[in-house]
Amino acid sequence: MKRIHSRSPSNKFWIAVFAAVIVLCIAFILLSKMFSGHVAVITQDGKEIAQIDLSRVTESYTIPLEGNVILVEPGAIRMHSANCPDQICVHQGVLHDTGRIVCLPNRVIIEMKHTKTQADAKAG
Amino acid sequence: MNKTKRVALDAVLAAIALLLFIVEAQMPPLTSIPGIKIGLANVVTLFAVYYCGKKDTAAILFVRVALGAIFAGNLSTFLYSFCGACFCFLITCLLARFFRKKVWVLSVFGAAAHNTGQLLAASVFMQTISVFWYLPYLLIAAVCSGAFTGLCTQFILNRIQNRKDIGQ
Repeated sequence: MKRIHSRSPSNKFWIAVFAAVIVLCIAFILLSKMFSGHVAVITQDGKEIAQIDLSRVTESYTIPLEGNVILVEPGAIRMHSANCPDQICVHQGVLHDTGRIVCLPNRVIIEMKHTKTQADAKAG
Repeated sequence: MNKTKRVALDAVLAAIALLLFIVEAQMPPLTSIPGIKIGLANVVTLFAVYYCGKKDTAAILFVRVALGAIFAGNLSTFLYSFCGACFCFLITCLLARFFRKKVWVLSVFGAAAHNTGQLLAASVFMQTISVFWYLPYLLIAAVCSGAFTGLCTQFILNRIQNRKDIGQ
């Protein structure tokens, strides 16, 4: 059996390939966790509204914006409600340390960053 | 295989796939990340690719996805699993002839394609590309679950080939 199929790569080869894929993915996840962090940056219309260090939040509170309400909890942030019909940003769920929540109709972006920055010009 | 036998076999396989799909949907989610599951129904798809041919596989897959959405899901899960199934089917068919003796490799590629397809559907559906942050998680899951379902299929194919009474 082995001799007949010796032209195609062996099982060991594929195990190595897939192991490499797993290692790369884990490295990517760890790196992306390193470069994002506990700071949620909220922007609307490209203007920065707030930077919140989620690790220092002890009690939940809401931030009312024009059209959206953002819910801040200890270690987490989410879009609580929105006035648009599709509610995409609400369904994007909770952010802890990576990723972003985007509301297109009201042009609101919540983005996780590693550290607090001084007037970051990146409008997203 | 004559036509009657073929239709009957396809129907049985579709029923098995549907059952696996529904049973799996009842299990609690393995992780907090949506979309990670074993994908037991893929065993039937892979088996069908080798045993019944591609046309029949497409039929089995479509029946399973459509009925699975009716019995164990809703419209959005249908969209996701339909896109995932299409990608998975395409990749599986393209690569099937290279991996007759290594179904687990084929299965991993299929699972990765399935997850990528679902993410594409999600990114169109939710109008954001930020869902692709999940891709590394889903790829790891695809390697694990794909290898498992592929090995299952390999064992089934080996057993079936040694039994002439089930019949080609």
